[in-house]
Amino acid sequence: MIQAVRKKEAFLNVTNLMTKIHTPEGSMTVLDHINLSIDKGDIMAIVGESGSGKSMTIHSILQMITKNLLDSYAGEIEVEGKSILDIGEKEMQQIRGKKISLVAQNAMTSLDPSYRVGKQIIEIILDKTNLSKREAIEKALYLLEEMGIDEAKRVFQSYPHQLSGGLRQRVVIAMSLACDPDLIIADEPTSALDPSVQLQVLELFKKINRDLGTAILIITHDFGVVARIAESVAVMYAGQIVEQGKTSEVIYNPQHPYTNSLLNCIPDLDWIFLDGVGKKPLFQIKGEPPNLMNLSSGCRFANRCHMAKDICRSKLPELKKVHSPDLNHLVRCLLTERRESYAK
Amino acid sequence: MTRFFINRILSTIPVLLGVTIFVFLLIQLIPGDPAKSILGGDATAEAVESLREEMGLNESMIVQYTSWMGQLLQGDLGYSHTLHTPITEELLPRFLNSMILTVASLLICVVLGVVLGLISALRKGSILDKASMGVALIGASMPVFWIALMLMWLFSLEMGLFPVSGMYNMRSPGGWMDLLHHLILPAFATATVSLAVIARLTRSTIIDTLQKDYVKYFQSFGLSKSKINIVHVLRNSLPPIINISGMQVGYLMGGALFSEVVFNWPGIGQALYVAVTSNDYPTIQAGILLIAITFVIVNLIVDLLNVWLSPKLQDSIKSNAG
Ligand SMILES: Nc1ncnc2c1ncn2[C@@H]1O[C@H](COP(=O)(O)OP(=O)(O)O)[C@@H](O)[C@H]1O
Ligand code: SF4
Ligand SMILES: [Mg+2]
Repeated sequence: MIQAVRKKEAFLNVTNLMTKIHTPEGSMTVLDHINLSIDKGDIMAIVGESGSGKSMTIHSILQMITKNLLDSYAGEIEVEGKSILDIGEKEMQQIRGKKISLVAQNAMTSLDPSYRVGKQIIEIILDKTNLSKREAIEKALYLLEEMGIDEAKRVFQSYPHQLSGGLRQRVVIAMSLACDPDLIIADEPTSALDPSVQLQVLELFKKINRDLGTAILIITHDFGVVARIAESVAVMYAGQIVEQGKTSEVIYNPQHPYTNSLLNCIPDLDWIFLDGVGKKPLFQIKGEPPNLMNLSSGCRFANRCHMAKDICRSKLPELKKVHSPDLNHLVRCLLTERRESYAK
Repeated sequence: MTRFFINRILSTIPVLLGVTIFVFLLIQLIPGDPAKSILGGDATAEAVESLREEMGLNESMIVQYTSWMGQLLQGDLGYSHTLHTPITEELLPRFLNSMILTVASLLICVVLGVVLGLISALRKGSILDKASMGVALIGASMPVFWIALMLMWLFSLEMGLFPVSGMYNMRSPGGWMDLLHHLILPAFATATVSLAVIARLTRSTIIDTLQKDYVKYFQSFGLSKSKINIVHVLRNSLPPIINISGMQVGYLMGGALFSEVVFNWPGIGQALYVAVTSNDYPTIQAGILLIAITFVIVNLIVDLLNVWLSPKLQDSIKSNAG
């Protein structure tokens, strides 16, 4: 298997990650040979339908899959060149929040209703850094201001229920930055928000990336979001990466039929590029993803692929380089493989 | 907020007034002549009549109620014609003894119940969890007097660790330690059922709270588990725990009556039992009143705690007021 051309010194390297979980029917491989590489300052997106394994990927990276659910990890995850798959819980605590932190998926339910917002931010700062209480308060206020909140002091003093959805989203993002992580991971951070607020939040991520140099991994099912923010993208289907590359490459030169279908799911591409145009996602590809418990030996997308040939049902395509200027553009499709061989 | 708390406290006044009217009418409506039943079947008509006069039974109900209320407001619970003593002297110390027992058992069942429930929830599915919940299930279905007898048999008679009965050792100077020594068995006997109830509720509440997004979010920052469990999980599980604990006070007061009998604890239970069998209406009236007032106060405390613990509730109160 050809792997992506990787920056060996990258901040986060995921190599051939396989994650298995327990199910009532037995062990299930939810992630299959995932390869990702994110460097400081990068903005990357993972896109895919619900159930494709996006959340599993980031929960594997942070090792947050609960003991009862997790069967095993295989492969390698390295942070700053250091393998983290076999380090202890104590050391992992040093990575969570400080090196890699999560932006809560649902800002409405991810803040503790019993405490003022500011208190929750400084709780994290005080626990994870050596700052004094006064410094922690200053830092929290600074972060809130950085998030474009005008009345940072008022928000700091508010309880979560007193804030609008947009403000809470900003608070949650500020929280994720509390200990100056090198990478923040946002799992569908905008799917619950109004389109106009979604755009603001995406702009905010860009600003954070620009001003603080924080790398961002954004998880979404919406190619509109990918197009607006990410420099590179990995398309996931049924626990595998099926296409991966620079965003512009993948959007303007999609190689995988599934990527194509996802792109067709954005009926009005305008919203990506014009502020204020509401988006109307029509997220539906005919058919169902395969059951991970009993996979055929062929391409996992075969039963939904309008280009499927007989061979697709018996041979599993590998992730291979696309014949294009982008050396990192990879695709997992037998059709492209053949096209490649014709090209030779 | 202070205004709300004051208003809520003042709002118990009409309730308490209602309670006094209810208790007053309850006794009035019981068939039979209190004077006659005090003096017995073969008393002369004159004797009955003069006692009726002395007890004020010939006055109108309104007059009787107002004079009774007037006494109550001065802390006078009335006069027991059966025992020939002021009720305040006889009943109040006993009521306080009962409260000592009730409060002690409340402390036991809340502290142990919460600790047990918390540990079970955090080790859900472990042997410890299964064992303690099994014991809780058994505990919740045992009658208080039976538990009391078993405790007495095991710890007093067999092991000799605790005294069999009473509140103080007659031959020693008494004091706190002596009281505590006497208190432990009856308090545990009273607390067992409620302890089991609180432990089970705490366990399920904590398990729910552990699933909350905000708990998982704080965990994702790599904060220490024990800190999250106390600052966020326990804190947000408090309201249901407080509510059920408030509800348990009633059961504890009821259960205390049984423990009092078994351990010969000089509480209100014995006194009320005597009062009922001897038709001592003023004492019964005073007893019911004291218990009812306790309930009103417990409810008040539970309400205030709930508001104090919930910023959201405080806001909705403020917006209703404004
Ligand atoms: N708690 C769980 N129990 C059982 N299966 C799960 C659980 N969470 C996820 N899965 C399975 O893992 C696969 C990937 O899920 P997930 O990573 O949550 O998808 P996504 O985030 O892309 O929607 C799915 O097939 C899903 O059914
Ligand atoms: S390998 Fe075949 S079935 Fe799979 S995506 Fe390519 S064309 Fe479709
Ligand atoms: Mg998900």
